[in-house]
Amino acid sequence: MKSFLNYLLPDDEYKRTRILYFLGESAVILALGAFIFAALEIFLFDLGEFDIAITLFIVFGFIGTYTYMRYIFSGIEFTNVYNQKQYKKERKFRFIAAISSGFVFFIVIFLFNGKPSNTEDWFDIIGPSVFFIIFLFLFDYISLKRSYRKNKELTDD
Amino acid sequence: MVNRIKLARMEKGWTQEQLASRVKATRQTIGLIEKGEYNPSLNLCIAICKELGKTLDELFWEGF
Repeated sequence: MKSFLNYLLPDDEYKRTRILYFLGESAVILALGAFIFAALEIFLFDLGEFDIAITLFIVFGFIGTYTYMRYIFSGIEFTNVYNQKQYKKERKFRFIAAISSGFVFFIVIFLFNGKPSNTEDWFDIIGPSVFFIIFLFLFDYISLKRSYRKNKELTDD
Repeated sequence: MVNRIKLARMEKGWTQEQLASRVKATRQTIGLIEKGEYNPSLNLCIAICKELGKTLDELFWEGF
């Protein structure tokens, strides 16, 4: 089937199908939510003025977050982790990757904010970087753990 | 949908990983197909049949 999505989706057809389902689910939930809010606004009460930028950001954020969460919890990311050795190796790699990405994140904030002049400024840079590392590793860890569990159930070798 | 992929694969002496790489799928996908938890597309069925030297009937048809 011809679609620009073909360039964004993985080659493996199972993974591809699941991701399309996740995207489809997020779109349906979003459409339902939009319909309910529109109906409430028109027929029941005034919900007030909506900031267009925030509304668009919520739409983007919901689709991205929902699809990503379904993806990591479905255990389809790490398709080749089948034993304890591979699991530990991947976990170590993901930890190093999270630290490295956190460092890049730190540099980017540092460049945007400029050189910190006091302790509070330093916390404003270090704090988000630490949270970035924690969440990145946490999501990778959940995905890895789920994938490993799923793979173990499927193996026969 | 029944399938006799696992049997045919074992006849060839291949692992799930080996079959997966031959049909350009992941090992997880092959495992899911063998367990009957995922119905592959016709294209993937044909690719699997070709690699295992079997017909669609031999691998997927009920009561064959």
